[in-house]
Amino acid sequence: MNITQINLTIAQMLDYTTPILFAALCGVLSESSGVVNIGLDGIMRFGAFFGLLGAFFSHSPWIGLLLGIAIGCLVGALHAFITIKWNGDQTVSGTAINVIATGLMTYLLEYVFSTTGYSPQLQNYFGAQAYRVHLPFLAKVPLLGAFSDLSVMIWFGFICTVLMHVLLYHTVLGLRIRTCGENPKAATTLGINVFRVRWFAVIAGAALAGIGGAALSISSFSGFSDSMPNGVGFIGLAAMIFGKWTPFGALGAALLFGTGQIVQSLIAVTGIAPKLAPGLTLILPYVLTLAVLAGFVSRSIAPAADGMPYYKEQR
Amino acid sequence: MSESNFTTKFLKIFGIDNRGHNRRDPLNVWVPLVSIVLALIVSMIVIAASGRNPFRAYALLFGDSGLIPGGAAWRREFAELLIKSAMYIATGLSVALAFKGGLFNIGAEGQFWVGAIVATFFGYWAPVAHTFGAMYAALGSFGWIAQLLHGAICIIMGMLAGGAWAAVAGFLYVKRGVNIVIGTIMLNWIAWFLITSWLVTFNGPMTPASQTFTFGSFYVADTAKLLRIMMPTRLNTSILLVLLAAYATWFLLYKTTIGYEIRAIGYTANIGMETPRAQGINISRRIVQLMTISGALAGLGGCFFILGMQYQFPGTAIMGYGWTGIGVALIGQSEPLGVVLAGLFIGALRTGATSMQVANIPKTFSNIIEGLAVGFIALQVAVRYYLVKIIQRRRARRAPPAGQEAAV
Amino acid sequence: MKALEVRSISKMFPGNLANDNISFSVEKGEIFAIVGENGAGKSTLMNIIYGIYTPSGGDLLVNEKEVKIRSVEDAIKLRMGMVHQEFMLIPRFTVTQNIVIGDEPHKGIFFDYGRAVREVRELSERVSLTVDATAVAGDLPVGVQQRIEILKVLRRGAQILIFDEPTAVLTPEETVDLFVTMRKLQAEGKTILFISHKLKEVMEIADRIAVLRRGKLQGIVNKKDTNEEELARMMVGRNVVLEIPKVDVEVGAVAFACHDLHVRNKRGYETVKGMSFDVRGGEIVGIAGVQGNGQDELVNAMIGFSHPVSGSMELNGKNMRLVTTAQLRKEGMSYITEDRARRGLVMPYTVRENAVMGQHLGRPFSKGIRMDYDKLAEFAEGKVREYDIRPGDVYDTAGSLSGGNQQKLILARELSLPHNFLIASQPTRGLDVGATEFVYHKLLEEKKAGKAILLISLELSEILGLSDRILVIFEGHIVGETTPDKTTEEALGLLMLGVGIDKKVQS
Repeated sequence: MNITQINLTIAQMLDYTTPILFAALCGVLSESSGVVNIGLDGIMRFGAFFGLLGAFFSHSPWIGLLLGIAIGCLVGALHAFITIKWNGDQTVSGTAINVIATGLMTYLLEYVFSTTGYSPQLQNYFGAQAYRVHLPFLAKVPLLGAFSDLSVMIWFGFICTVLMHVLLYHTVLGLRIRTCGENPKAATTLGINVFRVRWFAVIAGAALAGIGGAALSISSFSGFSDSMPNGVGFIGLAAMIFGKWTPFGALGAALLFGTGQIVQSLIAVTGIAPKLAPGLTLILPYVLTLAVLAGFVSRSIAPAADGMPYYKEQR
Repeated sequence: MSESNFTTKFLKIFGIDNRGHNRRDPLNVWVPLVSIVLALIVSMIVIAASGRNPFRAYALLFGDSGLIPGGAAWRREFAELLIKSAMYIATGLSVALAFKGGLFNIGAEGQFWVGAIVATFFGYWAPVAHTFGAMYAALGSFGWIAQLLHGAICIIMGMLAGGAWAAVAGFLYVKRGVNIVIGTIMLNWIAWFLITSWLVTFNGPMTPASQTFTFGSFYVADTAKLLRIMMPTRLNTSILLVLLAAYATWFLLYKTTIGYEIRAIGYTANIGMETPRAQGINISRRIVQLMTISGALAGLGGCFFILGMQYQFPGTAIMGYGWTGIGVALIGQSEPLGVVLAGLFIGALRTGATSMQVANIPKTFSNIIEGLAVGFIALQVAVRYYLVKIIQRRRARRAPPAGQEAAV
Repeated sequence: MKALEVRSISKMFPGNLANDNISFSVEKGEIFAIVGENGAGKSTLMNIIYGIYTPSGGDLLVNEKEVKIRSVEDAIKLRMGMVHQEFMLIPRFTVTQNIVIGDEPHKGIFFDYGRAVREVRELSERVSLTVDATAVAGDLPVGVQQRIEILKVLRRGAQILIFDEPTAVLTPEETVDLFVTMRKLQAEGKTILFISHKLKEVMEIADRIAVLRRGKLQGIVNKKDTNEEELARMMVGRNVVLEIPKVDVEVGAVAFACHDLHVRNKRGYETVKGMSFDVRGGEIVGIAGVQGNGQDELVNAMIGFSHPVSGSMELNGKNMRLVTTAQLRKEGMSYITEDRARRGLVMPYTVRENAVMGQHLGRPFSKGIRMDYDKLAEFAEGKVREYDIRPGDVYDTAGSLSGGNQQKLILARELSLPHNFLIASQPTRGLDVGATEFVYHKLLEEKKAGKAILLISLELSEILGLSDRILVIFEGHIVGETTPDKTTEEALGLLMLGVGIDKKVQS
């Protein structure tokens, strides 16, 4: 296995990681404020399709990205409306979003492109040469070589992780978001509008899930497939938990899980243990997540008021 | 001797009496109905907005759903409706039962697969299959006995497997505090990848070695297949079995000590379950049992899928039966009877949806209707609020207030 | 100048008029106390003034100007601050973070933690309330957590401070410290509303006192012109010293005994620190003490909710330290709780379903796993008549009953379980006089029947009237044992407050 192969594998791994990372960041933001969003898988599906739609008709992935963000916000607003405005069950609402996404995207795929299964391929997408970030000086450095030629979205993912960390731990808003996730009643007594903060966190989080979806269709791949996101949203949820509800934790978990996804091709390249059952590497994220939740490895504890609807006047 | 007296006595044999466990809120019936109607309306708008004729689409959808008798294809459609519904009712019961105990078993999907794969295994596994094959041959015209027995073994094993899979989540919850929703989601994917990326993949342990391109497991023996009950359609005994399961679920909930304890746990789940605990009820054990039964019901759905429809575990994605079960349980308000009705409704949508392709509408369109219905149920606080308002306004109009407002 | 005026405030909750046309005014620089029993509407009123609840009717005036307080933000803008009964702290956050949330020092959008820490230190020095600004709040003792709450309010520049039952969770020293702080605040010209049901404290600190009963204002009195007895009369309504007949029963064998029992609370602190006592058949042992001195943890250990960390616990001579609730029940433990909604009843269950919980396994209510709901109804109907539970339809949900009838239902259930040891934890809390009398009557009947009864109560009159022996607990220890004829409310009160007891000084 030579340097080029290693670099390619790392780059491929990062391609897998990015959608997972965005999904996990969506979860981190939303759940820090106390709203569980298992609909993020569905939101990614929306983002993947609308990302492609924008990129296809404008011939610019940037427009696709914007459309992905916009649809993410819109679906996020729906989740917020149901769960925050009307105190609906967060899991039920998320399930509804997932189911609607399944049906609606297939419908729209057929409606817009008159195809089933796959959309037309994009020429202009973030994975294409013209849209990659080229850092030639890194090419010769061992291990960092992979970073010399990556999709814009991958860098964007890293930047979002840092931004999210700054937001949650170094801004006024972040402190308030976390307050709402830990003790909404206390937040109210301090004059913080819990509802407004949660609306923001859910919508902004959903925007990230929208980006994650777009990262699938206009960065990792060059088109939309009807099976997208193929459970990536749920891996993201697992990454969020494995990363203990922190942005950098989510990044680490996403990298680990991304590696798990491509171990298969790694094995093929290196020739190690060819008999290893492939399913076993794919279930790794979920097994590890259960292990940390159960405290078998190191314990991961959710924000105290995560998933709890908040009623202002309650006796 | 009046007829109603006879009916009462007849029902009494099944433990059904007309006295409710508590006074029921009529809104519990209205909320799912209104949700479905709203979902149908919004879906119509979606169809109309995409420049297609919603009335034609719905005519096709319901015309071919098997709900409306008549027409050449009706028998076949009706059979399809019942076959599909049997699976949705099974997963719906699974989710509904867990809801009654205050648990959100979002893992019916995974339990369905686990049940399906185990049923498949016992369907084709040589020691079992050969035994029953020989028995079938020996019994001659009583061969159906071998079929019943083989089917029963597959179903029992499938249900046990589904139950065990769910019990893992229950165990992690009571012993280690792992949230049921998260735990079952993780187990879904573990099941999914174990099966599709290992067991039934190319060269997997449950696939024929000669296979080159097509995926999927071995086919089950003929003796394992569910008996057909309405020739020439492929309607099989699954619908009867699931109705039995629905009755058993109802009986469990409302006629047994386990059901009594489960409901007490469910009613107090969000305030710490201290009341049942203080009365000496072993909450941990009941929750694991509840998850096991719930998983077994989902596993039953998986058995129907294999033994009544596919006869093998297919290599292509078969996602969605468990997720749909959540919708069925919610629309059915977690009551066994409601789940049966909701399952029939969803089964009808799925059956008729294929015909909508004639109107250029993909068959997954029924997902939109279902998703919207679930969405409106999530919004039930709002739905209830407006329903109460409407009722109040109507009452006020009907009976001009004599000083006091009509209360609801 | 009137700092705050309340005019005809009412608050309606579904099925409950929590505040009924309440009016009063508070002068600037005054310590104004509002007293009343649990459920009298004190907290509701404060939540209205502080913008958490919206009143159903009435007006509020701050500094003699009419105001609308629609949210807490409005209240904070009007320079009001509230120290809540249950602390509004985030255990994972540091002291500084807790104090500044909602009004954070910032540079642009960024939270300036360094400045926040400095500000908190300055403030804490200025008002001499010592806290470690960088400690994690969840690790600190209760008294310090309350200081954080007070600092939080002061930092917002509050001129009107509301203290909602601030002493309920404090040790006596902490209470003394708190009162010193309150006086200092008063000297600085701050107005203080002090909510309490502890008359002694009110008489010590307040200038004027308003008494609430069942949502209604009973009157406002100057401290100089009143005394505890008068306040108590106003609080309770009529001069009820319930006549509790003396019942003499021969004391039997030891039913329950514990020795050197140590129990931890949910957060892992030891709050029962070596209790030893026993309860014999035919006697009522009363446990007197201020709330939060280990009663809850003691009960939890006795009903099998938490296992004692050390010591022994025996029921009828059998070791019960590490057993489940079911085993305790089987051995003859019955439990009447004050928390009917959380621990006593399943509210959406009908009367018949609630009436048998705990004895639903086995005959006559079930055969195998099959439950006979007709038998349940039959049994419940009998109990409804015997205990006069109203309205009396066994198909009504428990949640639809009044508090008194709910308690009767609990009594009916617990007393029909086979038992010889009864734990009655604040059995009359929140009940009206009639239901209270009923509970007393039943407890005495139990005693006559030779049962061993442990009565835990915050009401001294109840303890004195019913008990054969009285144990006083303070900070997790039993600090005294006496009998009703050898003591008085005053003497008990002193013991309960730890007066004259050697103890380590806590920080």
